[in-house]
Amino acid sequence: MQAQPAQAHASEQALVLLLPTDLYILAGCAAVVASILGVALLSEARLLAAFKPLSLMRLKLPGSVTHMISIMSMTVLFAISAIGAFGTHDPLNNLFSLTIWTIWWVGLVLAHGILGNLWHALNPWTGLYHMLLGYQSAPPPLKLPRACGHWIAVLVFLGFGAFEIADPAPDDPVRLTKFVLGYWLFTFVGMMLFGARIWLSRCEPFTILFRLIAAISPMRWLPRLRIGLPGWSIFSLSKPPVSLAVFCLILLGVGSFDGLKESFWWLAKIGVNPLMFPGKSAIFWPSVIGLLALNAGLVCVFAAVIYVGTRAANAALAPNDRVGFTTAFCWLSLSIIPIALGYHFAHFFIYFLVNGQNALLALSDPLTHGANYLGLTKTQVTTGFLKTKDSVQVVFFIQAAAVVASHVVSVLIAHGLTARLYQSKRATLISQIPLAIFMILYTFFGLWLLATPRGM
Amino acid sequence: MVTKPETKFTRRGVLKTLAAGTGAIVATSALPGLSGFAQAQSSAPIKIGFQVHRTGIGAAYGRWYNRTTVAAVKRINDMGGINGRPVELVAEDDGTDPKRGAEVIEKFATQHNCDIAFGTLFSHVVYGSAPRAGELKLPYFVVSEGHHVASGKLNRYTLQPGITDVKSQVQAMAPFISNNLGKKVTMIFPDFAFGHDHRDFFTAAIEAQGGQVVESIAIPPTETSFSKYFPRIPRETEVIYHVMVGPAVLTFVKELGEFFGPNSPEIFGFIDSLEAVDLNSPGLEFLDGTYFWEGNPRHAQADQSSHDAAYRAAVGVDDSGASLEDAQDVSTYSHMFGCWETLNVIKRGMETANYQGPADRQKLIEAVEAMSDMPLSDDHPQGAKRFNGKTHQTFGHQYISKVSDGKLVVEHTTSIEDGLYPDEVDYTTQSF
Repeated sequence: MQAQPAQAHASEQALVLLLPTDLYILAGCAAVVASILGVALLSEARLLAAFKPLSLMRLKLPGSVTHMISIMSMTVLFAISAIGAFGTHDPLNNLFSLTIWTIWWVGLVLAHGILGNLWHALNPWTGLYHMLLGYQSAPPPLKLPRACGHWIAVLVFLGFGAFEIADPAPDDPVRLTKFVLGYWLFTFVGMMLFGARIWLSRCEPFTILFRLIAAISPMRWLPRLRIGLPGWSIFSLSKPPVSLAVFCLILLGVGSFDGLKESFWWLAKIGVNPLMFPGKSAIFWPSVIGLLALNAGLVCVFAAVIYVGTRAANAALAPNDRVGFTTAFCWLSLSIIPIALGYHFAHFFIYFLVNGQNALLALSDPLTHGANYLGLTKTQVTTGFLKTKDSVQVVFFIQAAAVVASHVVSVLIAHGLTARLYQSKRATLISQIPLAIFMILYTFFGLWLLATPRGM
Repeated sequence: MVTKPETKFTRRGVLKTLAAGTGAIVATSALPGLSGFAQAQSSAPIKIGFQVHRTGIGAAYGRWYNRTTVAAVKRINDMGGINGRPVELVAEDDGTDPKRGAEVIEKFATQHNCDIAFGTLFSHVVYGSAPRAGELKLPYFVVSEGHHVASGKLNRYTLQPGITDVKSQVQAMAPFISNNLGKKVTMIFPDFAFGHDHRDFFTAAIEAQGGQVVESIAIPPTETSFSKYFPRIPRETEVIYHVMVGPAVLTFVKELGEFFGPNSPEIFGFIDSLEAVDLNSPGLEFLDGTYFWEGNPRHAQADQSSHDAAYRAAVGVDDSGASLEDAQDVSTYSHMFGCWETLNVIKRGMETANYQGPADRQKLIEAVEAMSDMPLSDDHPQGAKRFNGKTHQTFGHQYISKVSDGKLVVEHTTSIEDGLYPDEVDYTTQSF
């Protein structure tokens, strides 16, 4: 008898399925359609003016302070690595696992979407690097070939995505400690060989990711505190190379597959009974292949969308006014970043609410000796908010709102970026039609992911 | 059979024991919390490897299995530990993954030097882990409900002394259903092994009661809309027996309620699919009046035993089966008692076997195999049990509750005999 009685208990998913999610999906898509129509009617000058930030006070953060913070960050990393290596093996009690996945991967990425680039100071490498090599360091011993572009970052980030999504035990404290310290060393050696600036800006995916996410935050701190519409600072970036454009797309691709892999639809595709999920080990390769295929597919679809848009817009333009496919592809890839952040939020929201409690308890008792340094009154993690229809509805609305809002911001950014490429409004609008359809369909996909039954 | 430990006194052995004892007393005196264990031959903790579903699909259950286990171990330690030694839990996450489960078992045996392994819920993880436990000769106490132990598919080292298996549960439901709800049953179940097992076991059990399954409706596992299947329910149906699982289970019951309106047949299901769901939540009114199997009644009943009250207090669960810290955080009350009771069986087994260390693992298994009746007590708050040493499986009472205003009210408690079935294996004939 293969009875697996608890195999697929009714979690918040069961309550989500009682909600009229079809209507919510329709409403979400309608909001994105409305934003597309609205922005089409808006003059480009007004749109670009809206993205001008409010300039506030001048701030100064000496390099020494940044490096000091970086050294502190590295010290904390090494200290909690000891907890990872020698502390409790329970990943939900171990401060290291919780710090890496809940505080850093989920929390800090989201914080960048609001507060701007914190990683510039918080990264655990630059402080030590400058301490060892000084500020006027000699040229690095090796030169990273130009052809490498950002491709190393693309590969490393896909590897990270595979570890998170397909590995059977990414939370295991001892294993995770090995991976994290190994990656720390890999990056530091890369910096020593090719120079900190080159390695971090072209090969280290998290530095790039945090910089891109920070670019769509309303805030920028240096050299002057400026606040504006989310995404305003994207307009101050230079045109990304193709490899960086692909990196932008895989940010969304990895996040999308992370959601898709749990759906009944995907599990049925790979021949897994969603009510009898066999464990991540059993689907390691389908997961890795699915991750790579979805990312490759997303890049191809996005390229096709841009190709059709530029071709249609260019048809009526003089040769000098035409915009090349590569130019449009690279610029418009930046408009995908808000969606990637919106998906990150929606996908991890419940995870963060639950494991955030574990993280807080672990911070209060890092050595699991029964301490309560933070004086917490609650001693147990609760998931009560996932067990009533009303609270699950609120959670769903918050997730759906993040998906829809991120698409609306993307629409605005895409239109602003396109308006800078084309001289005429007509060309701008024509070039945007395929991308607008893509955005609406992706909104549908994102909301469907939230509503569809999941089997793992 | 319990064998008495052989004791050989040699001069060197006595000196070693004295030295170890002195060291142990010095060590424990430095740890005030452990001073109560200082009288033991060795105060080194008994290490229980806790294979827990912390991540993966079993995580919601794992959280409550963890809470119950921690509470049970605290109680055991507060009472002086096992054989005078404190119990230490070594928790490892198996990711609710069979392959990972086997790795965790290996870690318990070879890295953490655990005395035993304990705690697994999901059947496929038990299947994946038990062979490794057998190879490593590590006693493996599962809390899984699966029939895998009693079916003879596992080994001498795997035991399930704290929770009844599904075969027994299903069989025990038939008399009540037949006598009180109706004899003509339509079964609705997911179309895979889990559903097929329910179909086969319940069909046989209800026929033995003079009842009849008038229709068996198998639903594809990926289905999320059920109304189209309901016209297949024969008019003569008196009871609908459903074992739907998965995220669509509430949709299923809701659509069933809408299909029949107020004139529905009796509806009976297993609480597994609604474990940890707050039935009092607005929007779940359609569950009212339906019956559920419960392993342990979620709501404290009018005749609640002092043992259930003490158990709830220790785990931190209120009279509605929810966390004392959050009235909406409903526990997996029907299942998690199994952790509590299994740990108490382990304690009793180790005490009977005078367990001192891994060399006594066989004696521990023999001591548990020799167990039989276990009365309702603080050690067994769910109810009395009867352990079958040959099949390594325990049998107990089951509860059939009716949802009334969002509360599960027990209508019937089955006898232990209702769930007994002929032995399918005799593990005691297998060598260690």
